[in-house]
Amino acid sequence: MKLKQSIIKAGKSWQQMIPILVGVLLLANLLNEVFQKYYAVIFTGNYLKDTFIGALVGSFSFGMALTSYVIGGEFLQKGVSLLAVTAFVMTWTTVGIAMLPLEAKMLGTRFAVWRNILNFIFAIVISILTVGIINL
Amino acid sequence: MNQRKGNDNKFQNKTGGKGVQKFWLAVLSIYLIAFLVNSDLAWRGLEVTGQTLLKILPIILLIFGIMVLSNLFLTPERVKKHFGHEAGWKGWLYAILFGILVAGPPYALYPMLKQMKEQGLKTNYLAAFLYNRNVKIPLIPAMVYYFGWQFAIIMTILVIFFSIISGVMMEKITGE
Repeated sequence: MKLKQSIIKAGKSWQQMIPILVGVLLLANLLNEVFQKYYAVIFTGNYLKDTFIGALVGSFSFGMALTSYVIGGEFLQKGVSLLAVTAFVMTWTTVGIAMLPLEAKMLGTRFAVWRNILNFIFAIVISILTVGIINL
Repeated sequence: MNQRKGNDNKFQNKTGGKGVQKFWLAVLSIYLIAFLVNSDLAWRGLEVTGQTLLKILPIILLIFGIMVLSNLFLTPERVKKHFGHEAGWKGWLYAILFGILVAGPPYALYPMLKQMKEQGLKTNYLAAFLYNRNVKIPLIPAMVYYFGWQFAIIMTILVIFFSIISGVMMEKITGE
C-alpha cells in the first residue's frame, strides 16, 4: 500500500469515529457531573448491595484510571467497604457504558455488549477475590 | 457467524449516516435541557469535554501515525501470524504486554483495533488486550498510595489472569 492510500485509509477510520467520539464525550462528561454529586450518598452500608452499586457507578463513570483511585480513596475514608471500592475501580476502566456506541461501531455490537457484560461480572468476582485474599 | 457479522454491519451502516445525525440530535437536546435546568452543569460538561479532547489530541495524532505505518508495513499475513489463529501462546503474551504498555484511553485505540481486526486480529486477543488496559505501570504507585501494596499486587495479577478468561469466553460467545 502506498503512503497516500495508507493516509486516506487511516483518515477514513477517524472520520467515522470523531463525530461519535465528541458526542459520547459530551454526554459522558455531563453524566459525570451529575453523578459525582450523588457518589457519596448512594452507598447503603450493605456489603453485597454496595459492591453491586460500586460496580454500577464505575460502569457509568468515565475518565482517567487515576481519577477512580482518588474517588475510591475518598469513598474508603467515608466508610464505604473495600469490596465496593474495588468493584468501582475495576468497572471504571473495564466497563464503559458511555463508550458503548463507539465500541459497537468500531468493534461490532455483539463484541462490545458481551465484553461489557462479562467485564462487569468479572469486576465483582475480582473484588471478592482481592478483598478475600487480603483478609486471609 | 456470517449472520452475526451481517447484523453488526447493519448496525454500523445505520450508525454511519442517519444514526450519527440522530445521535447528535439526542446529544444537543440533552444539552439544551441541561442548559435550561442547570446551566453551570452544562457549561462544566462542555468545558471538561474540551479539556479531554485537547488532552487526547496528541494520542490521536500518534495513533493516526501508527495506523498509517501499519497500513504500509503490517500486512494481514503478519497480523494473522502474531494475533491470528496460528499465534498460540505468543498471541496471549503480546495481547497482555501491549494491553499493559500501550498508553492512551481505550476509545482512542478503537480505529487501530478495528483496522487490525479486519486484518485478522482474533477476538480473544482483542478482549485480553482491552482487559489489560486496567494494568498501568505508571499508575501502580498511586494504587499503592490509596489502597496498599497488597491490593495493587493481588489486583494486578487477577486482572492479567481474568484477561485470559475474558478472551477465551469472548471467543466462544462471538464465535470469531
